[in-house]
Amino acid sequence: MDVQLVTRAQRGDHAAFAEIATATYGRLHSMAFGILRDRALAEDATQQAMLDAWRNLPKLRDPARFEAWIYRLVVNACYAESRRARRWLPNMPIDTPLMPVARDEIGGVADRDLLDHSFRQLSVEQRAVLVLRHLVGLPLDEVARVLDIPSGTARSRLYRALQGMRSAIEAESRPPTGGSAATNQFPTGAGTR
Amino acid sequence: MSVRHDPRPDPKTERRVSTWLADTDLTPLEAGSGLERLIDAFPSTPQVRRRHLGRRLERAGGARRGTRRLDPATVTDRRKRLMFSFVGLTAALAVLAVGITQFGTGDQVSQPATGAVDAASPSPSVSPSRSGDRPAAEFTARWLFSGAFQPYADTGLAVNGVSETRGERYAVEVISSSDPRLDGDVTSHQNNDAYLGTQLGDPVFTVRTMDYRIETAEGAWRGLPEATISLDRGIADHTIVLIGEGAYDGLTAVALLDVDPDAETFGDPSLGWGADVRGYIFQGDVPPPPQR
Repeated sequence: MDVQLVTRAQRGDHAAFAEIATATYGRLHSMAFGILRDRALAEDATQQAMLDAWRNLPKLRDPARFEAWIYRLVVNACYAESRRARRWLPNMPIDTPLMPVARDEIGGVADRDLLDHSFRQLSVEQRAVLVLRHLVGLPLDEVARVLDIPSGTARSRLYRALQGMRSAIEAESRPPTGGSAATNQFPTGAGTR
Repeated sequence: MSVRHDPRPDPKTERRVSTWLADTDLTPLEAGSGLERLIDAFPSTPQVRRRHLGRRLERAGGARRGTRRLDPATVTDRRKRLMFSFVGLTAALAVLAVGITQFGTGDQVSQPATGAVDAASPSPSVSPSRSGDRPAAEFTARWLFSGAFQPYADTGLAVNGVSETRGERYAVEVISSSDPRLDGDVTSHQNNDAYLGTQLGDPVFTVRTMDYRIETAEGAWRGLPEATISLDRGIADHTIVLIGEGAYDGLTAVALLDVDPDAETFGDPSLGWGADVRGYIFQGDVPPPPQR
């Protein structure tokens, strides 16, 4: 991001901020959607983060850090949206068992559904790390800086997120008769309840 | 009973997740309308100046639906009446005590008297009340549980229908404060147990143990941990007790936080909750716990 542009926006230049918004909005919206998996919530979170950015820009000490700063605002907006929303609850135990997925039959669609479902089991904090690392493509140390958490915490959060997804994928991919191996976090239907 | 899986996420899972995230990415076209709305809206949003301009943000539209809110003037009047009642009662007791001392001791009036009145009133004149000994200063503030939310413990998956969160920390932004002694860096630490419903979207209630800390250049205020309950995931109205440290040693601040879940009511689009804070700073401690 052009530092001059950020500096102008810090001084209240509407045109400069509009330019920044145009350049970054799509990427931030994708990021918010990646975390929240809900278009409406992602829209709200992105707009809220951008408005918050505009409002608080004068407080930003280092304009060169704008990108990391706006990422943090988006993540925080996602946290807030996830708290407010009643459409999903991040730590909700799923009572509705999923049918086992037959990937061979429906191929990629089922695989995406499975990944989507597994992702929704993660806490919003774990999702944020996963998205910053694998969608935005930040190095893990930068992820930690954006989230203002120690690197070790970011690492463990990423590790747990991937572990959680893998466990869920494995559990849900098993045939229904093999349900005894499912975790209590991701019940897989017959034989586990 | 849960079964442990191999804890090492393999590169294959990582690649799969990465590809899936990229595949489900939104196209720029879908983000278009939101951007237009943003560009229309932000010019009417004022920018803040760090701790100078815009710190006093007026509430827009008054109480929100479902939010219990007393008229601030009523609250203030009621508290003032209570305060004056207390002062008046104390003054009456003081006068009565002096009277008993004088009538009871006859010609010993000139001798140093004993008892609470003289101990509390070293000057020759009788203090009109004990309020001079333990003055209480009223304060009001507006706080915003802002976007600087930092969960430092991973939120675990729900266990037996209870989602336990430990070590959440909020950086609370002081929007305004009538008393400079409380205008500092405010943080809140919380541990939450959210009791979840059985169906997605069911109401939940949350039991939360939280405390606050306020740090200023002169000293600090250490909050006593308090358990609160809210009938969803949000923070309900609650009281706080703060013990003074440093320059505030010996002082106690008590306050009621009237929490508004919609920070927008402050005219502020930032994140989190806002709270109207009203209370008193006084010399001494809170009463001891009741004995049984």
